[in-house]
Amino acid sequence: MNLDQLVLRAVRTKVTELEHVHTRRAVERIKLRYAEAVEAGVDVTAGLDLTDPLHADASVTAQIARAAHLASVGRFTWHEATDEMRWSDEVLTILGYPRGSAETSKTLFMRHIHRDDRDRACRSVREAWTKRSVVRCTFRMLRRDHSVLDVDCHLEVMVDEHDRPSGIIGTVQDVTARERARRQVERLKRRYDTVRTALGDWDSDSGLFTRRRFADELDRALRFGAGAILVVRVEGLDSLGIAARFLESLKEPGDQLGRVGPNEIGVLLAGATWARARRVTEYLVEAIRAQHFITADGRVRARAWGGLVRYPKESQAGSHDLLIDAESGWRRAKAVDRAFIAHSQPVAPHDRQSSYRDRIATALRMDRFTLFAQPILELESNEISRYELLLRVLDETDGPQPPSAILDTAERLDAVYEIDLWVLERAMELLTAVEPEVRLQVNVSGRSLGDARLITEVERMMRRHRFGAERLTFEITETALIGNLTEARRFADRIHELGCQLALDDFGSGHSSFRYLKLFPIDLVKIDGEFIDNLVDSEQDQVVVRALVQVCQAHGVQTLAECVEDEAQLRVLREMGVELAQGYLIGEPQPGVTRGVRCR
Amino acid sequence: VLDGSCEESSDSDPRHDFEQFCKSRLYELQVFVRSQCADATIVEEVVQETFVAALGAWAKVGAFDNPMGWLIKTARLKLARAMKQAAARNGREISVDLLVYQPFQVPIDDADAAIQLRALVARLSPRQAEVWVLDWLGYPVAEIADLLEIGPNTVRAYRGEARQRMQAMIDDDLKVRESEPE
Repeated sequence: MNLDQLVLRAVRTKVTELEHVHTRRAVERIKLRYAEAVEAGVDVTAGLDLTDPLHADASVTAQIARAAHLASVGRFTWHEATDEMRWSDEVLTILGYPRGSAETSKTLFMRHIHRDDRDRACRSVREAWTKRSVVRCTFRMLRRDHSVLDVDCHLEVMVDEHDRPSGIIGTVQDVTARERARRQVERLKRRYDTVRTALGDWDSDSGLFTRRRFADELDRALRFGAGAILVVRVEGLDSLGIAARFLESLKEPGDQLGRVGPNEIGVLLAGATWARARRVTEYLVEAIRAQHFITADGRVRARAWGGLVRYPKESQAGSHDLLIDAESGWRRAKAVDRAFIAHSQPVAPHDRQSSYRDRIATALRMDRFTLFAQPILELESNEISRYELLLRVLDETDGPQPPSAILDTAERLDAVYEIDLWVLERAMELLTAVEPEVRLQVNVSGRSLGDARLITEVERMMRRHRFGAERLTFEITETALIGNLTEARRFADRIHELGCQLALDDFGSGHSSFRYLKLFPIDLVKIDGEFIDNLVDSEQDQVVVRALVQVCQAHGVQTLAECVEDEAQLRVLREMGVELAQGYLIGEPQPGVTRGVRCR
Repeated sequence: VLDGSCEESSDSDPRHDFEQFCKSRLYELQVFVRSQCADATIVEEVVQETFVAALGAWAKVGAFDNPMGWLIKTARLKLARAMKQAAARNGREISVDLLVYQPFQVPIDDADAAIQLRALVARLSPRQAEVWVLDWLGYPVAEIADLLEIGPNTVRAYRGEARQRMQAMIDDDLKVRESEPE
């Protein structure tokens, strides 16, 4: 089938009567909303540029200049013919010079780019030039006072009247604050992930039970008899807290609330009859939809959908299963535009699992997963020769996201095996493609480790892809729910026989660390970031790390420090004899493997 | 639906009547915004807000040769803001549902062709999708470049990529189906 044929056929479609009605309604709504806004004294065109974009006096250059000025980002131009470089005052401000003070020149500009990033910046310029398209890159620049800042840079090629490239126009924006905030958030999240099990039962934002505690309550209710579980999805509010308090005021005394997701509130209707459960669901969802919430932005309406599942006495389905069913209920409700969807019994385990597996399989087939590589530094040689491969999921804007939520559900529903195989296959492809010195470390879920099929599959893959087996390291997490310990040990032993290496991830964050060292033939221990974060200031942490290194050295096991973020930490780690370091100081996870020697 | 309902457009009328304009071009804007965002609620909201703003500025905007340019640009701004807010609210939570789309099938009729086409557009990158949709709606390259604030060469590059990718999607999906047993 040809694309043009498809387009032709699609254009032939007539507008249906129903769509005409929709359009008329929409026009009425628009006029109504405008009238409301006028009445409330809101300026609906505030902040909008009221010139015709199709007839602006505008060459692209002028437009970029205007946009850059509006957003207070720096702008520079470079002309090929004269090799001249000019930049706007905003660039000077970003670099910490008074406006209009410094000469503009290419050398001066390059000198302010962080030495380690200069090559990359040049590569981006060349890429924009040869591809004649917009290129975006982020690099570090040095301010006048030698402080480092992160800038976001857009590069675009200018063309002359004969459509030949004549120069480069670019914008730079200081994103240091954003980058710092992002790193801080990442760090906090990592910490949160590791200490999650020890965290409280109450969600600080909503004041409700956390998902874990709520699941415990649900499990308890399951033992006492039939009832129903409702999950309400609320969208349109900045904080779930107000919705939580609102539901709190509406619910009946016996019913319990919990925050089961970022925008989800669970309602446990223990012992409720089906008729009552449906009534309550309809009432709560409608109430949220009808409520005017008072927020910082004024009165706000929220959108809400519900998913309701009834569970019988002595239900086969556990709390997590029921929550997943209720969640797929609201998703369905949102998709078909209903207030809620009710399941009068839990979904059959096989259906739940296979529908989830189907979705994972399709996502894999559609290439919605991707691998990022985070460099690991060998402290002795100061060389980057190995990478940890990290799974990322592409969201609807094709932006890479950590897949923790998906992996969590996949582990519970036993659907993670396919993902692990996919990762291993890609890792091996990569190993055959990159320089033979590069080593890769991959994460394997505890579930798959306990799966007898895994080792056969790995052996088959290794026969297909030819590479030195010692270049592949399997990372296992001590906190992972290793499904079948005997099987996992068999896997580890066999992996070792094949010549691959075994690393123990997040060492020190769990309980059975040292036992694992005896159980598995470990080659490498990754010291948890928790001990590295405050390493420089905390004597306790230094003691722990030093002891860990000694123990590992005694066992002939290499050590790696995670989450290394500054030079001071690196110095301490070197002194202690740690062999490898990983973290933002060394490099962030990136979409490819680029081998290189560290400059310092 | 990508349904080309702009055929009754009122381009010939230099002073556009808002209601008439809104009725005839609502779909066009919807098609454009939809190509950028999978969330129907956000799309609906952005389209409405854009037209509300247009009504507020109609004395000026209504006098443009083709007010759609302004509406498309405004919608892009509003959409970017709305997606940012949604992302902040959802805490970057992603569900598997968003990751999966319907594979292409030979359409059973013209209406289905429109649906299938829309599904293909949804699988493009946002940039490719917006360039493709504007091109498909009949905007010349120079105007697309103005609207999206990129160079004309970039527009051509994205347009070519989009076409290639969509044709590849059609071929791949049909091939997979053929190779499946009955």
